[in-house]
Amino acid sequence: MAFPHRPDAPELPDFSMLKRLARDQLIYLLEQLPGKKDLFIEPDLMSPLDRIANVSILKQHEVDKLYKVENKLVLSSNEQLCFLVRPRIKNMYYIANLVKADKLAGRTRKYKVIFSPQKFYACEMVLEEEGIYGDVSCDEWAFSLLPLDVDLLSMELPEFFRDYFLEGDQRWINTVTQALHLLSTLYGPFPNSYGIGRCAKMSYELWRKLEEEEESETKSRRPEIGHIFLLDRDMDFVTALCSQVVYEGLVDDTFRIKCGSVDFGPEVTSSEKSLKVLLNADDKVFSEIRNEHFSNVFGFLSQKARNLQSQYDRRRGMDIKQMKNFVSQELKGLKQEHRLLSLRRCQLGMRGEVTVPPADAAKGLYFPRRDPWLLVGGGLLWSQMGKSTSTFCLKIFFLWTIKRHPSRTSNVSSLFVILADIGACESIMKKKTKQDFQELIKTEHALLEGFNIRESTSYIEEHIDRQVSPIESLRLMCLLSITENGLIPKDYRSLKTQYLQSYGPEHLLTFSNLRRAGLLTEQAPGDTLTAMESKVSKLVTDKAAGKITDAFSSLAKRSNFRAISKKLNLIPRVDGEYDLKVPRDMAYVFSGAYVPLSCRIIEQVLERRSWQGLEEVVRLLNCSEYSFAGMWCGGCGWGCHLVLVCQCGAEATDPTDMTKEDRASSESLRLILVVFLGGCTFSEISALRFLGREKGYRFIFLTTAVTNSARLMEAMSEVKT
Amino acid sequence: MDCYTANWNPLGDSAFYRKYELYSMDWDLKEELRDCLVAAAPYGGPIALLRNPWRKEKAASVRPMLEIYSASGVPLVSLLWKSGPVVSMGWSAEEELLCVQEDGAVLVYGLHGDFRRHFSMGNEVLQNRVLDARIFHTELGSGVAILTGAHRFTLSANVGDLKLRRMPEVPGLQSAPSCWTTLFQERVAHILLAVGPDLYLLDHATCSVVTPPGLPPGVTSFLQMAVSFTYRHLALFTDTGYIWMGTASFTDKLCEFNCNIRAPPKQMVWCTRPRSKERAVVVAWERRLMVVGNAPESIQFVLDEDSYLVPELDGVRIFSRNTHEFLHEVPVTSEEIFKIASMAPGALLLEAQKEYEKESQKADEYLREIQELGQLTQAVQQCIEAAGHEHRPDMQKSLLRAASFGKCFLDRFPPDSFVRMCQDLRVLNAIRDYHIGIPLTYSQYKQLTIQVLLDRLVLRRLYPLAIQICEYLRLPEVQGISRILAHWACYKVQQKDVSDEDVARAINQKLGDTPGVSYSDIAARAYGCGRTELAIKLLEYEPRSGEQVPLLLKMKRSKLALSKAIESGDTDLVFTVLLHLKNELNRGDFFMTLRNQPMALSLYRQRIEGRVAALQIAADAFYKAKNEFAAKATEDQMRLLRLQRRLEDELGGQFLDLSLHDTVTTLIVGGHNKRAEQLSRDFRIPDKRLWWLKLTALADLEDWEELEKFSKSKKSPIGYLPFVEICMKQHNKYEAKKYASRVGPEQKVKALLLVGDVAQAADVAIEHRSEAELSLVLSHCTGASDGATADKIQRARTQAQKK
Repeated sequence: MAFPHRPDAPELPDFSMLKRLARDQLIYLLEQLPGKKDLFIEPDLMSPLDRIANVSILKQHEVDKLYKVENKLVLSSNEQLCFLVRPRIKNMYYIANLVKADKLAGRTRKYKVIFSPQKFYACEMVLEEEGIYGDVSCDEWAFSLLPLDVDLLSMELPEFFRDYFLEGDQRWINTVTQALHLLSTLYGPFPNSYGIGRCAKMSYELWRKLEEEEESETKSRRPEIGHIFLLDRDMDFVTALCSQVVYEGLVDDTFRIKCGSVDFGPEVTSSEKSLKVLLNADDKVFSEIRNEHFSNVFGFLSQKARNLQSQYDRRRGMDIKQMKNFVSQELKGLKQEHRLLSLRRCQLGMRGEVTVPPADAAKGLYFPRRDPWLLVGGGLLWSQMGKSTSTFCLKIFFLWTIKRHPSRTSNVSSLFVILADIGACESIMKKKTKQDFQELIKTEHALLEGFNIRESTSYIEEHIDRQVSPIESLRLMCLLSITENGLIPKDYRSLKTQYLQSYGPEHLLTFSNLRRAGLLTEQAPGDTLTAMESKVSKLVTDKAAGKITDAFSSLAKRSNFRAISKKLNLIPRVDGEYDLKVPRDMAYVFSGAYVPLSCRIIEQVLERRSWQGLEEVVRLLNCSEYSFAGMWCGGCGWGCHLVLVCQCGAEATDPTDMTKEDRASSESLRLILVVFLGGCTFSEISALRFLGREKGYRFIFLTTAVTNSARLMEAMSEVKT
Repeated sequence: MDCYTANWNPLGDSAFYRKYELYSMDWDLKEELRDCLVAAAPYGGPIALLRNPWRKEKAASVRPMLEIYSASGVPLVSLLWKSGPVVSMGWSAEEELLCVQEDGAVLVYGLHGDFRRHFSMGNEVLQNRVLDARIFHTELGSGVAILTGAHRFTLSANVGDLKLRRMPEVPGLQSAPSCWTTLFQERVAHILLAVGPDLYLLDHATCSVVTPPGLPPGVTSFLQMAVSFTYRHLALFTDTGYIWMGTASFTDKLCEFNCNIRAPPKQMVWCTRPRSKERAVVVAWERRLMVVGNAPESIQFVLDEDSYLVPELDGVRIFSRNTHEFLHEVPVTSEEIFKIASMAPGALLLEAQKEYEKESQKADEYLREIQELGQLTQAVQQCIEAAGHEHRPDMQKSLLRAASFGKCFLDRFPPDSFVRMCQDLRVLNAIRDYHIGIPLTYSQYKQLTIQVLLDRLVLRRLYPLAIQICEYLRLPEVQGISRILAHWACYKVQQKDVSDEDVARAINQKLGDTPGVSYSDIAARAYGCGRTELAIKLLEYEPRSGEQVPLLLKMKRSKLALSKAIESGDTDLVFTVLLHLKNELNRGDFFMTLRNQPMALSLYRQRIEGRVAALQIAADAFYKAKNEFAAKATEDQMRLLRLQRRLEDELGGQFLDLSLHDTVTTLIVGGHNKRAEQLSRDFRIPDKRLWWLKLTALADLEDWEELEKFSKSKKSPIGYLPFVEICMKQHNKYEAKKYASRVGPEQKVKALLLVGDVAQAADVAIEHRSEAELSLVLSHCTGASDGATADKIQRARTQAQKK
């Protein structure tokens, strides 16, 4: 089912080096404070830290106790305290309070503050103001890149989105630059660079400056990554706001993947404790289904499990007596679970376009007709329960397998993963059918395609009226606003009023945020801007008129989605059913209804190797000044100087001018680093992976954080839960 | 009659002085009074004796005895003095015993020997010791003045509000002054002291030499000085036996007298009364008592035993081991009536009445005589007044009888003065009783007022008498009985040997719902005695939560206080408790406490009015920013907050912080449909929302009847499919079917499938000839039972295709 890469697809560079680097640096910093010490860790840093250095490594370096940086003060008895924090003012006050309390108690301890990924002057200022600057020593742990997967690097800075796109705070740009610099130092220079967006351009320029300062080292290296593409999140909010239907995205939407792993709660694992599963390419089963459209996954899993099943020798070492014993022993424990399970007995399946026959799969898979186990244990249970859930049966099977064949752990573990995945699927289905998921998807598609707007609006209104979910309602409103280039004043008012009535007046501030970020806007009443625009443009030449239009539209933060969509053909014209099993284009990540805008831009630019021919799109994105493409000058080898091309590549050196040799070598560089500033979604990742397979590229993703619609909305929300 | 004036002694031309016995003392004193430190309170107050006052030569093991007696010599308390040597004792106006110790500490005891508090007269005293001390009474209260070993004076004009004033130094003062006293002029206390032939007056800042006008030369020393009760007059006794009497401001000399006795008198006090004719001083030596005034002769008495003089407002009390006497100037009315051969109308009326009782016609003659002079009214008044000044009840009676007799011959004589006098005398006789022992004269009683008298009775724990007096005088309950009962209860809670239940019950029985009784005060007293449980029990009787709560907080019964405060419904009170709790408890406990009190929690979270005010500011700002929408939304929220609070007040439950939608839902779930409708009208909730809301709420309640009624109220703006869905969600197929029939044609198939009626769904789908619907129904056809339906659909399909 998983699509193999084209044979000429390049190998991915080894990013585990980044992990090693970060670990070594952390250890070095910890060793700076010799002897026993207590480590205070910022909650946000805990999961990333776990991926870099686990507790035993920390213990090796004389970390005695671990504390969470929380509001409450902890009583630590150690003489040395080390704080591992993000550079946030709040944390500084926490540390200051701790130090001051010690001072009052007449204790002298050593304090060390390690800022990750970098320290800010403002934080040091706070320490100084609080009068403890002399008592603490400050250090930086430049841990900005966490390889979540073979092709996914995350900076784990979810606050980047709010800080930059809402507050206009540019402090993280430097961090991005540092990360890029690190990558180019480790993996060679990037011969071709493209980007779009204000932040992208800023980061790029800063990074170039940094490179030029330290040019000597990098230029000699052979580039491993051929292209870098920087993209601002605000170029494409639509994709991020859509419901994800690719498996990995769906898991993220439903269970929230945190730092590359997900906690499956009891409802998924059907046992009392929750299960933490690491989701990455090492997991063979997962790596095969992660990019699949959700509707294919269940069937695929059934198939997979069936295959595994057939590998067992059914006859050998299995007599009925043993079986009986096992079942009677296990039954006691299982009865308990049975009670839990019976609560969710009704098996849920999506109807309509997504047809999954879970019951069939379960029957076929877990109760093979000739298996003696079925005859004894299964039959017993089956009759007891009357009806079964696949997970439950699988659970029995699994337990039995472990007892019987402890050596076959590899198979068992993959089975276990399937178990978890199936559990996840079931849970997803349950959730998605609760509030008619199909209706929701239909409305989203209608919004994307721009038909039946009235109906969609009233659907959203109903959604709000029924108080389905504040975040969901907000997401739909934003989607409507962006695709429609702002809400018409009447709708804007009425939807807002309805929303406030449903979810409370605090959201007035949320709306203000959304307006500022351009996510939820009102069409200019009376078209004052448009009127002005046309008046002014009459007076000037055509070329200037374009500029003026840009200025006006950026003033109004217009999205122009409809026009862009038409221009880039984002809504594929499909006759008949879109075959999700054999996708034709990137639209499959949204059930064939929509090609993610961000991915389409990347595709187009890569095809052209410049922004040429995309001028109109860039203008519609209000980014005429912030799009760029650059490459190393071909004439004198790698890394001599860079031609920065603005204004849609009008002044770009024609790629055809490059010598053949150069072109060949750049062609061989089919590795593309895509930098999402403000976060990317799993759907986008899946779509680009698909694109890579189609075109023989390999994409590497660098994102400030993996995001989804709910995270975006929460970042904008003023109501903290 | 002649015998009546036998104890009258004339002084000068106009005034008579009489001395009569108040009580014969049976206090069974073992020692002479001179061996004791004596303190007697004015206004017939108690007498304190410190036997065996500290003497340095004596062994420390012999501790002095402090004894307190009533004026009639009834012992009140006797206790062993365990503190340091006492220099002087005195009673404050509140009848508290102040004992000034040598080290400057002043110990304050109650009437029953209960230690109240102590204070110090300054650090300087610690080194220098107190040589002498005086307790004096002024209109500011009771003051203490001390003379230290360094010959410096320190005084405090009011011990209740202790402010120590160190008086300026007297230049060249080497030894203790021969005598000194406190003066009180223009609301400032001064000290007058005599050193050799000089008199010094000390006030806060200065020390000035004063000379009494008309003082004969040759005085080398002043032996004694006396200030009158009202601080108006001063008397000085010199070593030449000369007595100078004048005003305390040294402006005038009133008179002088030379007694030719050079021995220093033991005591010298003024014996005057308001509007006194004569100004006289009583001087006491060991065995001799002399009344001197503006007359060449003095009245002399022989003292059989050691005596002690107590100056009073209108005379002098003299007590000794065996007797307690009162010496005063005979009041004018008494003098007029009883003076030998008096022709005053009062005297004639008294005579007339006596004759009348003897059934003699002389009565008529006397009466006529008075009437001819037109002095009958005056006569009656005189008799009434004179009765007040009489100590002996038989005399009082005869005078009153005379007055009553005379009244008969008068038209329109206002009776109240007569009635009041009768009442007052009854009260006075009652308290003068030997057992009570408060020998007040009529003028003292009037000066003291009944309220103070009642207080003093309460202080002596004479609750029944006090209550009887209140009832007799028909005093308002709040001033009278309730107050006394409250005091009684406060006394009662101090009886530690009685169990909490009994005390509480006894108190409640007696007090009941008497107005003006504050159970919280009593409880506070109980708490003060360390009886917390009793205090809580008593607080149960307190009807005003506002009084209960502060005390409960003081007793650290915060949780109880919180629930009481909530019961009271007084938000302010709840806040008081909350703030208190917040300071007292740590955060965790605080919120745990709040969790059990949702009302308090919500209050804590919202200081509504504060929030509304903040919202108002926000709204104003929005208006300024021309953001009409936000301003409107903010105003709506203000309205909603106020409304929610009202709902909480009226209906209980939690409304605050809910969104409008949730508020209405809560109302419907709570069954307040009328209010819900009102609210939705007020806030113009759109119909669709209202229907969704009501639908969900009623389904949650499983109130199917109401739901059906609601569905029929008018045409549903949201269609009937949601009704079907929600019924199915609650697994009520029966109800769902009801609504399925009403679903519009375009959604009918879906509705029918929802209720599981596949066959009918198929029919409808076929009727609609909709391919999508047909396949939808088909996908629902599972199992054998639906086989026929499936076939039917297939047939319909092929038919459609044919066409």
